[in-house]
Amino acid sequence: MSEGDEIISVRGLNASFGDRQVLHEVSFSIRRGEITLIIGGSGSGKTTVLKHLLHLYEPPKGTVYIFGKDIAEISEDEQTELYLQMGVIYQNGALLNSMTVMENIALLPQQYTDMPEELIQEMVLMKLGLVNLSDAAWLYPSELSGGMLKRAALARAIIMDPPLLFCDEPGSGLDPVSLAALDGLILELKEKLGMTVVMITHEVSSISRIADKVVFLHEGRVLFEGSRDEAMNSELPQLRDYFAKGHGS
Amino acid sequence: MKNSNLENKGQDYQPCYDSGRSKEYGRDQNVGLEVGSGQPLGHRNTDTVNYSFDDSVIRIWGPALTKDNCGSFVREAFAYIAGRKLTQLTIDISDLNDIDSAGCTAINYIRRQLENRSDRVVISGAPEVVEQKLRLFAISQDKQPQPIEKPGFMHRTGNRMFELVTTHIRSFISVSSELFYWSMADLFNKKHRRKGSVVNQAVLIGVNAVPIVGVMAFIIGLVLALQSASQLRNFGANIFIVDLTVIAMMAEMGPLITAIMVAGRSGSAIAAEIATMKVTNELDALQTMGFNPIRFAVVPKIYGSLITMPFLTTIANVCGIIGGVVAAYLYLDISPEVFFNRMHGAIYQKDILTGIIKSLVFGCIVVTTGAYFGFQVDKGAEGVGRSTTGSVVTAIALVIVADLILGLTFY
Repeated sequence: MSEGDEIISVRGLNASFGDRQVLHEVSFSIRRGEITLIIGGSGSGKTTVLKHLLHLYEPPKGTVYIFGKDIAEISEDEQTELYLQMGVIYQNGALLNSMTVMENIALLPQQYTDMPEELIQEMVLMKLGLVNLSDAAWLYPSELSGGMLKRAALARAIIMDPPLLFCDEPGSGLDPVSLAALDGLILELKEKLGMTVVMITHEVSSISRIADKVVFLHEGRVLFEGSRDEAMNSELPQLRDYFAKGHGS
Repeated sequence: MKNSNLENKGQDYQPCYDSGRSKEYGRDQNVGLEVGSGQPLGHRNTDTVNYSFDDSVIRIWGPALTKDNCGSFVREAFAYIAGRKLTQLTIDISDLNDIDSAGCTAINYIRRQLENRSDRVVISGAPEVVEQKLRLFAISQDKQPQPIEKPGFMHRTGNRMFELVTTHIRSFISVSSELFYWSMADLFNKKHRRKGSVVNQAVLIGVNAVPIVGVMAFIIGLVLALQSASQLRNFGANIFIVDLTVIAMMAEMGPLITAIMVAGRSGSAIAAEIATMKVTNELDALQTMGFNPIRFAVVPKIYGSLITMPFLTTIANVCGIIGGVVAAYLYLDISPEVFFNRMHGAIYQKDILTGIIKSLVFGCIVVTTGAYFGFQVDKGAEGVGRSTTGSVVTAIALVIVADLILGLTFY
């Protein structure tokens, strides 16, 4: 499988909360080694799409394929194997509050590799160094600022070098400088490790900085799917309006 | 990038370490998901890696040094290094095709450990892709935080006592006094009271607790009378079961059972509610909207508990005495008529009053403790749980201490 192959494919996805349908026949695909930004206004269904990609929700209709497999059909073991190949940065970091940053990040290698403890610790420090957070290793999440939490969450997400990285609004609550630094880091990971990145975001500035591809959601429907340049030059009124009002930037 | 015929290389290198045989590590089967084409899923590398330890040379070759095989490699490398005096070690990775962050960490870790003991380490022949990753995943020497040393038992105990006195007791007094102030201030100031909030709290703290308090009091009254009955029968003092049950329930057990039940039920709920409000910044929002959080969130609870605790205690007393009547009738053949006639002579106004005063004090303690622990929360979801537990344990302890003080005062 070479760079450019489809790694995720969403086909005819519908979702509803009670009687309210939030996703309508959502279809798009994501290719290996690309950074895909899923954008849209508040309530457009971005986070719901992400939760379906992570198989946290069961779709009433439609299919999500990851690495060519329908994720609703795979066994529990396969699902665990799949999760090990995904890193996820949640909006609020979602670090476990009862553990230090070091313990949070070391969880996965401790559970799934036979690496000695000192080596795991070394690897965690290295990943924390990558996100410029070396000094926070022994702090608890409650002692971190919002930006530090995001970076710690990124370090946790990439600890096992997953080929697939999901980010749920990593820019929310970050100042422009921190956001640019985070974007730069994600871009570096993509370029040097060939990671495929799926990012839910409001930040228009991130689109010009890192996006290879843009999926635009509006009221639960995919109105646009294409490259960054196509998105920037699109005549689609909703997308133009979205860029013009500079959501989140 | 250098590429090698791995099978040939595996045969060419004759390792000198231990058994002298080439070692292969990692899993030799693909465990990843199969994609449509039948290829292994994603980038997960489950290939083997070969390595050999020769005179001052560690040679690593194969498809990739990854998190799946570097653990064994590091252990073996250190076993090799430990027994030797080296001045220079060469890590030859010229035929290593790929590496991940764990593999990079392993190589960097070995290098640093050796450099710490003044040995020189040379990493030779790294293919471009491997070298790039080694650079990306290098740990900065000057940015290594040292683990915080945990203080010893005596140190921790001393710290806790100091913290208890300087922080907790002071904060508790501060919250209590502020609560007292606002409770008094709002007593005659309806304007600042949210409509229905006091009634709502009275229902939550008092009315909803009636069934559990009633049942518990009945059972405790019954057990108390049963235990006493067997002793009193020995002395022919059957009729004193009435005095014992009634005085114990009215002056002591009724208020205490009620307070303990309310502490477990409502005290924990108050702590959890306020702690959650703090964690989710609701208290900050109240403050920035000009509301005093204690006045807004806690004062209605104090009123609710002050209104309902005497009634709850009375219900507990009645249920406990009914338990005593049942036990007296079943075990000592004392009819309910005789029991109630005797009860009039056994009970004094002071006992009833003591019980009521205790219930009011206990109600204040439970709400204040719950609120205090709620305000003290500091660590997200885990902190909320800790506050809740702390509030219940502390409230019950304080209720028992207050019971002792009031008992000594009144009797």
